[in-house]
Amino acid sequence: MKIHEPYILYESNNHKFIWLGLDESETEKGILTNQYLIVHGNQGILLDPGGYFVFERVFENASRFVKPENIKAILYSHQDPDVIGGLTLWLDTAPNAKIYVSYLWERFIPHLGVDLRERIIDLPDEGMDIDFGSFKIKAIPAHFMHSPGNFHYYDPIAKIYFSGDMGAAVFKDKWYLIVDNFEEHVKLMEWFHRRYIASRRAIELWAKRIEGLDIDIVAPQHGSIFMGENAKKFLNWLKNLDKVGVDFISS
Amino acid sequence: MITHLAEETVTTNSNNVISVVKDADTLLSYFPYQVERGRNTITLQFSRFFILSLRDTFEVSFSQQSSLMFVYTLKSLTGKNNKFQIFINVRDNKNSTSLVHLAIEYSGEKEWIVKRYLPDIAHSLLEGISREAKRAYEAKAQENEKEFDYSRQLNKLSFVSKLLLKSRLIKSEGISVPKGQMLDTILSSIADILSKYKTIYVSASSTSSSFRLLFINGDLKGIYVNENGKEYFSDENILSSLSGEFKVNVYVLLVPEIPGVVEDENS
Repeated sequence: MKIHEPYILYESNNHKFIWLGLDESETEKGILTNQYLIVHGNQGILLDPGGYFVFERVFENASRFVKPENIKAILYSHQDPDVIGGLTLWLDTAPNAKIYVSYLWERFIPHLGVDLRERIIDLPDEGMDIDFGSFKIKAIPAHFMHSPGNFHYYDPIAKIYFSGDMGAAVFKDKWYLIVDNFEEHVKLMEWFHRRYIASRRAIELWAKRIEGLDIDIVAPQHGSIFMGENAKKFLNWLKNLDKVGVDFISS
Repeated sequence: MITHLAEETVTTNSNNVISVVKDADTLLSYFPYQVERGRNTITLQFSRFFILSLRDTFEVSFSQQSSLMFVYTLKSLTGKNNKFQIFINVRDNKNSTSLVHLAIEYSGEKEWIVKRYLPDIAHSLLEGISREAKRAYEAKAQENEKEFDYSRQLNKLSFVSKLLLKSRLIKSEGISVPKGQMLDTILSSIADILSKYKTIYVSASSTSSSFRLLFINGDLKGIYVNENGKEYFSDENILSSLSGEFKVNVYVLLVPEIPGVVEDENS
């Protein structure tokens, strides 16, 4: 399955939040990846732009909204190959983009064969506000919710929370972009979250971090997008997961 | 019923275009406003505001009316009488191009909402047909080329991404170049590695222009320049005319053969 057409999740005068389409390769059946672009004025910000297989589609779709040289930042949630696999290509095709990722991964990412010295911004464990002039994106710590150095990103204008691998769903026969029936959708998400979140403590720390954020939409890197009431339902579901990760490891 | 007509000239023959039009999966991938896809179904959602929105799931069917006329029908699966029909006519045009006519019809509820989206749907589908047909044409042309045109290839994301995937970045620097000295500056920048590596790829960009160069066995085999959106191939003069501050990346290929070239030369 492939979907070349992007979908605009939020649009105002000078601000857009865009889903950039979909590809399914033979080897990733079920776990499809989402990539997003934030456009503010004439500058672009990419969120987890993905691996080699999706690069052409993501680049072409992003270029419809912003000039590649105006892509100012690439925000990575973590270090998995489906997230950073295309970094070599992005460094070349978006020459002015700074790379934001947890400081934990700075020493590992160069193994892709890239020189990040003047391009990388290490995100500290406690997170930070990333300044784009007239607006800021919040890098929210979500360590051990998936990876040991893990960040989600919050766009306060669009009120969209990019949740990295949280919200991942494994599709069987059909794919959908926006969650309609949350209770049914949980069946596609549950195993992934129980297995990949390291511990209940990680959830509790993350839940504290997002208290007070005004969230209309949750946009994950895998799976479907949660809007309105379903966004609230998803965050509550995640906060209340009891047994996860190490609870399932038998001796 | 509401209808929108559109047409597009595609720079390849009708056979390439028809093969794209008949490929439902590829064609539907260019259908905008889709929020759900099944094996043979598609869900469309128009507008984000609830009161002014329409969301419905359609079963997709395809039929060929004649050798040049194709029809996609999207029929509502939710018991409503909502229906899209897309008629696509392809014919050969002058100078080895094709003319694609597309008519999209919608009948059913909230026609007044869907009406404003029909031009967008037609535009996206035609653009998708054009893009995919051109891709198919270029792939075939590449197979038939006796000599591989590296300059043309450097314009293609697929070629550059294959190249980068098998390369290692060995130098990344900012340079300031006066007019007429671009090639000399690049050559002196890579002088120490030119004889060491079989294939060297150089990409550079400034605020208004960018270029890509490919050196094979020490010779400059490919030049692609994009200056203010205008593209130039194999043009050393344009390269020389560039000046100013550039960010330059130098990559060396880590495998003996250039990806995507060997199999084509053998075919």
